[in-house]
Amino acid sequence: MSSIAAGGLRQRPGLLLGAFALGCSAMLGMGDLATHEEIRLRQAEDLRNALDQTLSAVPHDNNPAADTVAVEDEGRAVTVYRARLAGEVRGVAFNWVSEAGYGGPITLTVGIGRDGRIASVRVLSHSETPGLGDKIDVRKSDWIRGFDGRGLDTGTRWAVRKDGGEFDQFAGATITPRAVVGAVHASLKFFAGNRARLLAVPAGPGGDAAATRSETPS
Amino acid sequence: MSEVRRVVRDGLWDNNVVFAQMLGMCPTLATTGSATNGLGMGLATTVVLVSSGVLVSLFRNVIAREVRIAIYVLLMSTVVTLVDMAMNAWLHELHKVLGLFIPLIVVNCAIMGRAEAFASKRAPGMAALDGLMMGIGFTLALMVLGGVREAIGQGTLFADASMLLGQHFAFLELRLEGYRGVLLMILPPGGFLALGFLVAARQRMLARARARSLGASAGAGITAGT
Repeated sequence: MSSIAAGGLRQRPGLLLGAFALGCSAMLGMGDLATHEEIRLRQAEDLRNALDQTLSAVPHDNNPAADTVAVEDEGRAVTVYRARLAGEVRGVAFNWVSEAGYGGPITLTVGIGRDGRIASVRVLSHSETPGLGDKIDVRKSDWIRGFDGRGLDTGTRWAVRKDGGEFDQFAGATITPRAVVGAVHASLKFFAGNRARLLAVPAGPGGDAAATRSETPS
Repeated sequence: MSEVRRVVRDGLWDNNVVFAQMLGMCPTLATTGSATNGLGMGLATTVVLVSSGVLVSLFRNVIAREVRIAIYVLLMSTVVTLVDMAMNAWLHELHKVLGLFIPLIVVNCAIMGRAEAFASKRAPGMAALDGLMMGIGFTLALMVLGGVREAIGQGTLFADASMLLGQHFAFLELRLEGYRGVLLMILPPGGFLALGFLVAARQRMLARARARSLGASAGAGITAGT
């Protein structure tokens, strides 16, 4: 029976191709069903880890991954994660992409405190030259920690030394650190420009509960 | 020579994907900036070579000649996508490191080459063995190429291997202190240079072996072919 069907299909390549396309689609569909939930969990874990790293210096008692605000910036939507202590927003973290990298876009996760100073910056993904530009990765070098505690009001010259700033470039690689310094500076300006909105306690259910809690004398 | 031995030798040396067939140059040159990256690309490709070989072999009597290429492309892209999803779900740490190589496997014509030249004519077991051996040969070639470029380029060997293989393999990571490296070898031109020299070295070895065996069989001590 199946050999007859197969023999018939051999005579009609179009049908055969269609059958394979159908079979492959079915396999992909099943694969997606089997892995979808697991992948979502793993990605949520990744996000939590990234936020833990960038907001570790900001005291908070909520889950920043679940407390988000979407802010429009020059046509792109930035999802901002907020760290709160007793309802008050103490710091925010968000991803910031620099298109000025040497090997492609560099995605940073930037954590900024309520005071507008950098809490921590980490590189989420990049494709810079191994051994040169990849020193921006905290696993390779401590360079990225140099931003901690700096803000727009700390008198920092936001550029690499070659451009008259105060951040080291790497031997043989100036474009990568220049891109990162520029992106961190831009992310601080973005924070300053949207400060009121980012730090406002929303009128949602979470915000109400938090507000009540802070008003009620305990 | 038994067929199994033939297949093993072909994959590892005689008909090596990189050094003899010269296939899969895009992933080869793009990912061999370091030995660790070469190893990662090689392992991911091996999984796809084995599974696509078995699939093509299973359906070899059904697939009509006219549409075979289209069907191979369908099967291979399905396998690559499934491997990508499965690794993302169940080997997430490894996927974070290898993830970027997986889509590159689709552009590796060695997989199409093995389907057409071998898997479409043999039983699934043999196709699996061929895929495995071609994959191991590819992995070794990429590791050697990556190792040479990394050692000359930045004075390290298997840097960050522990990120790919786990902390137990941290001992693989070597570093030459005080060596500043030759940037060119890490950049794309270095890939072509290193590959050229490695292929030349292999050719020289083959020529010597041929001369030796000819000399031995002739028994008269004629150094042939020089």
